[in-house]
Amino acid sequence: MQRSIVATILFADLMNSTEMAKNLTLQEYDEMIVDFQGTMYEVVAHHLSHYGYEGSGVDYDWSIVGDQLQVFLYSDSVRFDVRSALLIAAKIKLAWLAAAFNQRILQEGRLVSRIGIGINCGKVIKDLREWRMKMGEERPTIEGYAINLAKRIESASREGTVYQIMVGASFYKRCQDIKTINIDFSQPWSLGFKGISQKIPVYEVVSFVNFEILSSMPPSLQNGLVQKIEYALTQPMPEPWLFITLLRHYVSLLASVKHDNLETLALECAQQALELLDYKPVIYNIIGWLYTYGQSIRDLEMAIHYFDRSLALEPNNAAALLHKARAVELSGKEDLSHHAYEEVLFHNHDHREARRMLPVYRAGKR
Amino acid sequence: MTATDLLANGSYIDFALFLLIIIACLSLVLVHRKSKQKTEEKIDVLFDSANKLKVKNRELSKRIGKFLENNETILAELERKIELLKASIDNTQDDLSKAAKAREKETKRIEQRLGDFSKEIQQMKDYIREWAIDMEL
Repeated sequence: MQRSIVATILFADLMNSTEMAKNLTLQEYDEMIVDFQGTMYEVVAHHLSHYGYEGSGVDYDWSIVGDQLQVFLYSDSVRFDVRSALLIAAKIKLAWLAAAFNQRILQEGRLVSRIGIGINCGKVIKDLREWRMKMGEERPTIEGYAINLAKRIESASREGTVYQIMVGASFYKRCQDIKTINIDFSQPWSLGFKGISQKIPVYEVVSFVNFEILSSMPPSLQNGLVQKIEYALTQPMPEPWLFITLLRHYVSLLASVKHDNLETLALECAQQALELLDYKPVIYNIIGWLYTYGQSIRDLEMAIHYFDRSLALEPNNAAALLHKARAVELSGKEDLSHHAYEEVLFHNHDHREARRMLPVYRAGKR
Repeated sequence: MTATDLLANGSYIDFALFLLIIIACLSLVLVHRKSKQKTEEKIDVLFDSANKLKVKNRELSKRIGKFLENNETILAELERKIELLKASIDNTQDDLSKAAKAREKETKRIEQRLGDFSKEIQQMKDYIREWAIDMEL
């Protein structure tokens, strides 16, 4: 039955695969494709099951053809699908880095093969075609302009410099509306695509802070994954986004258990990330967090300094505003703390912590 | 000397002696008769008594018999009841042990569920904590 639905569409493919096909023997190329397809299957199948998607044709549809993966998500909640698509994107990139093919390349000191990703949201038609049923396939056909656009957006991913995950305006807007995802995008690139007369705005993901990237990886891929990321970051021209994922993992460890050595390691990693990443507020915030909550490296003045640097780039950065207020409060500077919490409340009228703290300052009970 | 000689040739003394002898004999007979009668009477009394005793003895035997019979019935009944009681106790023991086992299983199941629930709560708490950190970076 034909139905119009809002789908979140993700396309992913191996970058420079044509060139690789030319340089590798047929056997080597086939080994790479087998590894790629196996890895994609592992990640996507586990993700859909782990996050409670009901079934193929019900609320998702996905396939792998050659060096290309396509995923359509159309559950009842577009917000949920948006979050899922981002997680799938980050996880397949991470899994491909850790796959046997890329690990061999890393050991040889060569540049790893990367995955380019395009994501878009939009209305599509879901229909069970007669010819498919005659072929014995129950899978619906999904068609629409949003799919063509997502494929073209994906083709622009090789121009990216951080995550190489490109999104369309519709997906970007939905991410902006969802306040519960810590994601940042580049300025829009206005790109012309084959078959589309007008220029299309495309955004690159430049920061995606989410603990689930690592924690919800398939168990079969988790073993030694952090060590593989750490190793990849010691190699020439590492993928910049790996710093954010690894630092987020360090913060998790530090928040749950005391690790003195890890605090220094995390700080070094964050300093290295500052040199490589163009988008710096999230790294400043992480460094500030380490100086505020670290046991062995605690330095509130340094923490406030890094939150200020973050705010200099993004005056509305909610995380930096909040942590600055906390750090100033911990350092005993009441007036500054009062002012900092007022700033937090100015940007977010419903902020619970600021609403709780300000009356205390006003009453002079501090 | 015969009785004819006595009558013919006997003196009065002889005759008197003879009479005395006869009288003595007669009294002996009489005494004997009386004694026999008394003995017979005593025997009769004894016999009656014996008969009475016999009847009583028979009654007693009957009673004892009945008593024994009753006892056996009671014993049999008692034994039956004891067996029933034993069986019931065995059954109760089995039931109790089954119930105890079932309760133990149920307790373990509840314990398991509580454990799972507590793990889920912990996971949710961890998730919320991590999500809060995500949003504060």
